[in-house]
Formats: sequence, C-alpha cells, structure tokens
Amino acid sequence: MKRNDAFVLLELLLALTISAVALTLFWKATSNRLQMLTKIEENYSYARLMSDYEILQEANQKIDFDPSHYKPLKVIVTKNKIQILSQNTLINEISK
Amino acid sequence: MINSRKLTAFTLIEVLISIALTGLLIVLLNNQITGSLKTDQKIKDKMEYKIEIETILAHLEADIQTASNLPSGYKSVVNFYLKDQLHISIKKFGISAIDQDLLGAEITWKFGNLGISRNIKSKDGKFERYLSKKELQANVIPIGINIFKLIIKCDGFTKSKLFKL
Repeated sequence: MKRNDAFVLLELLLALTISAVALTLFWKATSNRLQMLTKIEENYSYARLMSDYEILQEANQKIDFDPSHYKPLKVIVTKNKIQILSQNTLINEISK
Repeated sequence: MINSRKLTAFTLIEVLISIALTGLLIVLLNNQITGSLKTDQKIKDKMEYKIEIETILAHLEADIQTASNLPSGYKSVVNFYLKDQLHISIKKFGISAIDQDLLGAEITWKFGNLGISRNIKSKDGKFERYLSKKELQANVIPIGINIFKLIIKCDGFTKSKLFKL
C-alpha cells in the first residue's frame, strides 16, 4: 500500500489558510461595518448640530454647544467660530 | 521477520506537527468565533444603540413639528417628571385607523430607567410602544420662552437636541 506522505500536514495547512482567509474577511467586514455606522452617526450628529445652530440663531440666543454631545464629530468651539470636523477633516465652519 | 522500514505509519515528527497544528487551528477558530460574537454584541450595544437614540431624537422632533398650536402660537408641548421619568406630552391631530376620521391625539414620550416609550392616547384607544429598553437619564433645560434642550445620558455617551415650540 502506497502512503501519501505529508497528507496530514497539507490538509492542516489548507485548513489554516482557509481559516486565515475567513478571519481576514471577517475583520474586514467588521471594520467596514464600524466605519459605516460611524458615518451614519456622524450624519445624524451633523444634522442635529446644524438644527440646534439654526434654532439658536433664529432666537438670537448665545451660540453655545457642548462638543461631547455631537460625537463622533469633532466640534471645536472658538471665540468667533465653530469648526466641525469629521475624522480630522474640516466639513464646515460656522460663525458664532 | 518484518522489515520496519516498509511499515505504513506516521512518523513521530509528523504526528507531533499534526497535533501542534491541530491545536493551533482549534485555538484560532475558537478565538475567531468568540471574537466575532463579542464584536457583534459590542457593535449592537454601542454603535447601533447610538444610532437608535439619534433616530428617536429625529422622531421626537417630527412629532413636535407636527404638534397642534396653542392660542399663544406655540406648539402644544408640555414637559414634566413623573416617577423618575421625563414625560414629553404632545397634542396633535391625526387620522383614526378605525373610521378614518380626524381625531385629536395625545402623544407622550417617556424617558427614564425603563428606556424610551411612545404612548398614544386618542378615542381609538391607548397604545404604548417601547423604542428602547435600556436605562438612561433624560433632562430638559429650558432655553428662552419657546426653546428647550433635551439631554439624554446613556451608558458611555450623551446626546442633546434643541426643540423649538
């Protein structure tokens, strides 16, 4: 009877490769899902921030925001303006 | 006499490598499965919950925008606290699901330790729908005569929204 040498090793290597590919695909999918959810949340936060800004402006109230309420957007409030950043990219700048 | 060189069997080194690789494979797969389950749960608990709160705020805004007006010209919206829960009561008109007639309805949003619910009271009956069942803290801060700020504090994040009446 002829024995196929290294059969077990080959099979395991194949299984390991498939597992590694599956793992990579899973993490890629998870990363994309996280990115997509962050983007959706950012869009909601941006719409909320702009709505709040318009309400305060219309009512002649002091434009004052708590940046932590609009995460994951980065809101930088200075004396004269408010900078809105999405993943370190400036998306809008509004005056106070 | 049997010649040992002609025996068909695995060598010790083959068996050891196989066991080592099998062990590695099992550990990898186990990590992958538990990791994926944990990550999925984490995403649902944190990211999707945040979006859930955002949609609830947008839904509440739509309710307030379509509320009926008081003689003063402001929207018919009342905020009050009852049993550690913030209630936002909105009066508006709607269409009856039973006879398609115009009817007045009172929508009450409840925020508190039981989560967030939207209650409808009209001549058709009382309906309660839970939009979230996670514990949270909600506060209302009046800003001016016809503006209020709703602050929702959840586990790990805070969101706020201004509403104009």
